[in-house]
Amino acid sequence: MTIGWQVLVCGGTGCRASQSERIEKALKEEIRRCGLEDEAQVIRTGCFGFCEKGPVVKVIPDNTFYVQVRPEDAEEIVSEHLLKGCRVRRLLYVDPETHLRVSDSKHIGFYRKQLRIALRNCGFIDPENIGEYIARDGYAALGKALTGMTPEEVIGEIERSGLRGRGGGGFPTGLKWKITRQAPGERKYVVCNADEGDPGAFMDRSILEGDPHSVLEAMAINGYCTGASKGLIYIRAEYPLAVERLKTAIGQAREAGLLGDDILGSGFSFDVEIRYGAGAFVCGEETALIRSMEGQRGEAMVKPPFPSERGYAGCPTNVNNVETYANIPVILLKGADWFAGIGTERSKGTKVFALAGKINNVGLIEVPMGTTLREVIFGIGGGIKNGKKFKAVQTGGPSGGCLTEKHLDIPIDYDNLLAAGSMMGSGGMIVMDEDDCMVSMAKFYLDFTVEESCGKCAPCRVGNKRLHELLQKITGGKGTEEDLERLRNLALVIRDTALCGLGQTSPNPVLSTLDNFRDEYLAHVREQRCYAHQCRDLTQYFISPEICRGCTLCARACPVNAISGERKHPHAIDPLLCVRCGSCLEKCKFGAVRVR
Amino acid sequence: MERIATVEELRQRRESYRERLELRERSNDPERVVRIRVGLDDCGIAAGARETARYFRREVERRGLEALVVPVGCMGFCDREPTVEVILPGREPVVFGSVGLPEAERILEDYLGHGTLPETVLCLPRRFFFPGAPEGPGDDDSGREGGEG
Repeated sequence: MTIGWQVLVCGGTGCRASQSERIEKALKEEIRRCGLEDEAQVIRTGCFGFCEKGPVVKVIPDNTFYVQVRPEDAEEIVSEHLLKGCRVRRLLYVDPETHLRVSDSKHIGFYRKQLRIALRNCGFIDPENIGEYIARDGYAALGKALTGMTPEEVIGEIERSGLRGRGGGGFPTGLKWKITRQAPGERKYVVCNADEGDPGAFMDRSILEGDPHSVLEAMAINGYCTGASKGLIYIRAEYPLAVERLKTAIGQAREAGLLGDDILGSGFSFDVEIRYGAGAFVCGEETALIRSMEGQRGEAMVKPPFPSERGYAGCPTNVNNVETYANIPVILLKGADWFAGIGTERSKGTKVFALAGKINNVGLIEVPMGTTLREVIFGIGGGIKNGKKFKAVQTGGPSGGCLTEKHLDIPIDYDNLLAAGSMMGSGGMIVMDEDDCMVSMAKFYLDFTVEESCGKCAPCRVGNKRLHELLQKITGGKGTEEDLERLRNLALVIRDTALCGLGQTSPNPVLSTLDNFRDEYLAHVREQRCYAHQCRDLTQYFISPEICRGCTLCARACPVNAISGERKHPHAIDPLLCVRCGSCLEKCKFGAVRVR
Repeated sequence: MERIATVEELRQRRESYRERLELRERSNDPERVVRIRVGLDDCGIAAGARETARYFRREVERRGLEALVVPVGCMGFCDREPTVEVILPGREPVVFGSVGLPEAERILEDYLGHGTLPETVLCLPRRFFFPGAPEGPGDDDSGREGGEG
């Protein structure tokens, strides 16, 4: 019997957290119960990207995109859709503007403006089946390189494509490969940096979960170009699913002879091993990463020498990020000119972003370089949650800066983001609305960098701690205007003197909020006010006696008995007892509880 | 999986896996291929639409046609079930009535093969069957919009 239905179930970490494995099982059971085993197949894919609406199930051949599916829905999907051809309308996505149900993801605003190159196979193929990857021209680029091109030609192609490192720095990938090739040395190594540490970023994890072979193929191509025969993937152990899929992929590739000795009869041998990280942010920095792989403490080293000259075990080592590798096979197959035709003048191709924070469509997207922030946040991202006002977006994680309303129309690329005081980073985008306090935000990121600093150099170890204390003072209502000057001076010194990327970029959130939200800092230090009501020491809860009906709800909700008052008479909050937890505000039905 | 020893073998392996992906590729870009839409609601199934759909699927695969067999809901023409609509790329959709296996074969031979309408099968352009239905009968597969949310 010929397969007529394919039911794709998202097997990414996000959808699995909301029971996609149970959905998969229920679908299979229901298909068996209805006697459709010969006609319908259930396939587990990688992440579809639309995590906000997960778990996602897609039905082929009518390309029906079901959102927020529950295991109980499996019965109806099979009995109505697979048996009778009728879509289950209640599971279709509702367009927030037109209020119409949309069945094909192509017409959903979230997908319409995307261009998927690095994510080309995510949510389309079964990542645990090498056959599906091969059917999508997988390993064809490796074949083309090994049998029809010299290493110089491959490097030339990558150089002409204009691909730049997707991990954050944006170093030209072709040039890096060339330097590693030219570096003298018997043994060389290819390293894949999968140590994704930015809070709110999950691009690399999704690629490894959804399309692990694309990374293996690209690493082998790199090995051919640089003369390395060993590849190492440095991945954090807290990505268990990605690790599992990688192991499966490596096993399958070895079995198929696409890793190992004499690949495709070319005489070239290459193999890949996984190395686990314990989840330290600094290990995303390449020199610290290499030390960690060698079994030493994850501490950054002085550059030069760069890893391309002296890296793992003292040998020339090419370190690239997961997303960078995922682009390589397509570039070789479709050509450098095709790739260079996408994007802006100095940033070619696409970039994957992880949208998070106060945005309607949380998820993973890929857009051409040069797309504006406005298109990403309001077009694809669907705008701000609960109709609130956009305040800022943090790009580049703790190393980046925040961008505001006035930056919304700049085309996103490496240079524009740097000029605007932020950076591309690995692609995390955290959106903030009017309820977020930017001083607290800067403090949050410093919390993170203070925690993650390796402690090797004083500017980072001591300086960031002092920066954090200053912010603590300001959010605690004890700051002065001189503290703002101190904050800036110290931030600039750290930026200029720290040893590695972590330290050099850690003051960025402070500097960019100081530049873009100076008024907010001034309100904190001059008026002792936090208008976003995020800084507890600066907010005060009180009950408006004209509105309060004396219903006692707030008094009963208060965990510290700070609210007193007679029944049916206005209540009052004792500011000395109040811990500013906000429970009374939540409970009051009359809007009598106010915050100042 | 068996070892792939040469680039030529890799190409062959790709072809052999292609079929599994073909359904997904075509469904992603349906305007590019011939769409055979079979009405598969209760009245259609009672009249044998399931067998018709299976026949189309099998033949599309056997003949290597660039086509997608899409089961859809009730097309509303219960008198002439199984009802099948065929959309050739860039052409007006045509609805066929009472499509059993012999009729299905004629549709494949005459309409898909030569672009001519088979004489022995009841067929009319979609607009005669369903005037004023821009998206087509049954559950539309354009995916653009499907009624109020």
